[in-house]
Amino acid sequence: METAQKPLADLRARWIASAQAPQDAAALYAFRVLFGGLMCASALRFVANGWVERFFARPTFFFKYDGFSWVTVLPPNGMVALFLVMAAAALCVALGFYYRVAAFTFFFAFTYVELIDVTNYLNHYYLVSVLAFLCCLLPLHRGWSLDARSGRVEKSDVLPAWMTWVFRFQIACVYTHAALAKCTADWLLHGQPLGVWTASRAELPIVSWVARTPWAVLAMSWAGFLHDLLIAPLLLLPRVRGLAYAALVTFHLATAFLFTIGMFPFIMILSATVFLAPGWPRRFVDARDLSEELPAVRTRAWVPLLLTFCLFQALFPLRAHLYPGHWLWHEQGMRFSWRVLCREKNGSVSYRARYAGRDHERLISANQYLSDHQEREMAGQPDLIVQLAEHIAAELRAEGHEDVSVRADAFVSLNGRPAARLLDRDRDLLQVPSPLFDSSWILPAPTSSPAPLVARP
Amino acid sequence: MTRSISLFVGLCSVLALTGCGDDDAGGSDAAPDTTDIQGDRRAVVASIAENAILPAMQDFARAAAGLATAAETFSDTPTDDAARGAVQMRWVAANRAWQRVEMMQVGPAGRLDLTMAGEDRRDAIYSWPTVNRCRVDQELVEQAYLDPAAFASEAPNVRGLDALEYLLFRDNVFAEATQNSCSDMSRINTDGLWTEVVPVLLERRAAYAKTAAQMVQDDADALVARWEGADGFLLEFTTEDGSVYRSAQEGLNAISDALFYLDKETKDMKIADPAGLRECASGCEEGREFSAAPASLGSVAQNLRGFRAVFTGGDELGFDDLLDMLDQDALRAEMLTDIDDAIARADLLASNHETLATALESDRDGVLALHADIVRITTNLKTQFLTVLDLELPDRAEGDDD
Repeated sequence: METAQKPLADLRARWIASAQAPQDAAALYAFRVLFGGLMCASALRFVANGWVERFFARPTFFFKYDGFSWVTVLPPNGMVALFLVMAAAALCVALGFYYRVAAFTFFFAFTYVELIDVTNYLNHYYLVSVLAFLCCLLPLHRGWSLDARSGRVEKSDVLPAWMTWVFRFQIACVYTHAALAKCTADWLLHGQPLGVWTASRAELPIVSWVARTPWAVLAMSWAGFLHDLLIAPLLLLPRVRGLAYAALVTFHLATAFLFTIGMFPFIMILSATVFLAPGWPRRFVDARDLSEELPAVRTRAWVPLLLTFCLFQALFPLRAHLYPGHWLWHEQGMRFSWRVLCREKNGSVSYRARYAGRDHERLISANQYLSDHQEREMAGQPDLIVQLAEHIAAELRAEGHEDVSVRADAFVSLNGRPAARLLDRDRDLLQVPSPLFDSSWILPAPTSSPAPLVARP
Repeated sequence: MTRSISLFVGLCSVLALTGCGDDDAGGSDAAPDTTDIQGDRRAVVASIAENAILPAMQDFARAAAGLATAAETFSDTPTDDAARGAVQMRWVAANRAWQRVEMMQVGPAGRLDLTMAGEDRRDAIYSWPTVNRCRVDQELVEQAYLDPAAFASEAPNVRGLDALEYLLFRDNVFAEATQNSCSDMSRINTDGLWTEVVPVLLERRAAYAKTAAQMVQDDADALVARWEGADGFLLEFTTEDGSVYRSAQEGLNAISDALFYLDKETKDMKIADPAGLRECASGCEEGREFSAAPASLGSVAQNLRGFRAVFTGGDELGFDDLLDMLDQDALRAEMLTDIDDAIARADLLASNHETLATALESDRDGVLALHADIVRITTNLKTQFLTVLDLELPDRAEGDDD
């Protein structure tokens, strides 16, 4: 018994020693500076583009996340002020100025904004929240910061290795789950939705050639899948790390060029720097060789919290596969799962209400409640269709109507397939089981093929 | 091993980014070929603009000129029933032409705040659903129309086709000339101003109509002029270096945005609301299209014809051909059949019934069937059509995605 336990104990001891081993913290400090700067620019960009008005002032109805229905929008001026606070907090994170307060402020402000309306969900917004959460926990202000310079925090050139590991694990999760999301027949066998996207962007010379060459679209689809699947392991291999990072940068710059995905490519490019050698920034600033003697570093490890965090990040995105049917169709478990740019979907939803005293159904257009942006997002997500149905029913009851039921004609085209019904037209949406735990109320995905790739001379 | 892996990944990344650009560089036609799919879209956009949108605007400008001429004759002989009948017919013809343009609110005709390069020119010609008949009655009292230059600064809903409808077909709304659209508390009623107008109402209506019709003609000509010519807006669609649309896809998206009029305005506001399929809070009756002129069913038919003209590029190169190029011939055929069915049904209803209101009384099922026809069109429009062409819904030009 003892002999069996010894190797395990040795392994554990070695692992703990490696995790606690001091490591040049320059890469993490650089990450802090770049992340804070980028977030500051993002918040200001949101205000400058008038998106605060567009996404938070104009809509009269907001879709709630389960468990967060208490999150409500501030008045328009309050939202603008919040974004300015967010920008200031992000700048303080970058400067390492009252870092902890700034990191918590940014995390809570950003996450609050993200939770206001489900139709604003983006994977990279979620990633920002997750990275900000890690920033709150980890002392990334012990160097290259105003806090360290002024003595508010003990200055240190090193941090334990596990801090880098946590960031690496998080970024690896993003890529790996994004790869799994592309592991579908549509993506790998039919080259969709990339075929649709390249055809509409064919003014770019090379893309023009790809768009009319089916095998090239398929090759591009596979390349995207393999990039996401392999990039994290390759970044961990010192001998190919440089090449892998160059490929990553090129890949993300290309996606930034091709798609309207805002800051996402830049967040990934800067986040992936945590895979580089811990001292990589010293090639450019504060050039010192710390490889000879690394002083021990004293930190709190937050082990249970971090283990829980890592388990959550590894497993939670997989929940989509627990629902019957295809997740691309029913979209259950799609959010917080890093299923990035994996489908082209458009829907049409109109509601029909019945209540006592009315002899025929009353049609209700979603656009009476929603902005075009919200309507488009809702139309492909059944749980949101139910949420608006419940809101419509509540309004009708408030008008004094009784025995209210709400049905919907919901059609969706996925990756260019002919439009098919998403929901049973006769099903009262007020009687569906909890959308969170059940998808049986959603009609099966159509069996037809997605839009074909068209060969052109 | 690691070198092999790195080579493989590097190759994949490069492939992902360049789409095997080496083949392009090494082939006999090595120059980048941008004339194919993107060329198709550029040609489609140009064709729709040239063969559907501009001709529809020119048709309307001609009809508006006829309306202005008839209105001038009417103002000379305001008590002549024949002159009034003639101007009413001209209004019907102008409205029919305009209802096709309604489906083409692209560029200058579009709304300033929602359309790329929008200049709000549509509202000056036809401001529905922002109508205000009481204001038209007030203008009859105030006679601001006697000074056309000053009148041009008035709100669009007192000088466009909708104001003209009320002026020319007012007798269909009120049995007595003593009635007006303002509330009893309005100044024209409390101060007895309307009572003073009643004896000269015909003359004032004719004079007002003359000014308004001339302004509609001027606005129509200005809209056409804005599109035509050496630096006209048409160039934004026909040349590759237009300054408004950065790509053919953006131009295509602007045109598809305009098609959504069929969903909100035609399907919901023109049919579902009067049919009682939807219910609106307040002001629905006031905002209803054509409660004076017998034009409601014809307007739906013309909206559908405008939609068809854009979809088919005026029977030249259009969205239908683009769908064919993408092997989406089933969707193309289905949409064309649905459009033609809806047009046939709208025409049938218009030939059997003077207005939508009378059709709803005697042939409600027919109206509901027309609504269902249009639902089929808009469902395809909002789903597979948008998806295969990678188009965005209107008002979604900005914002991030992932």
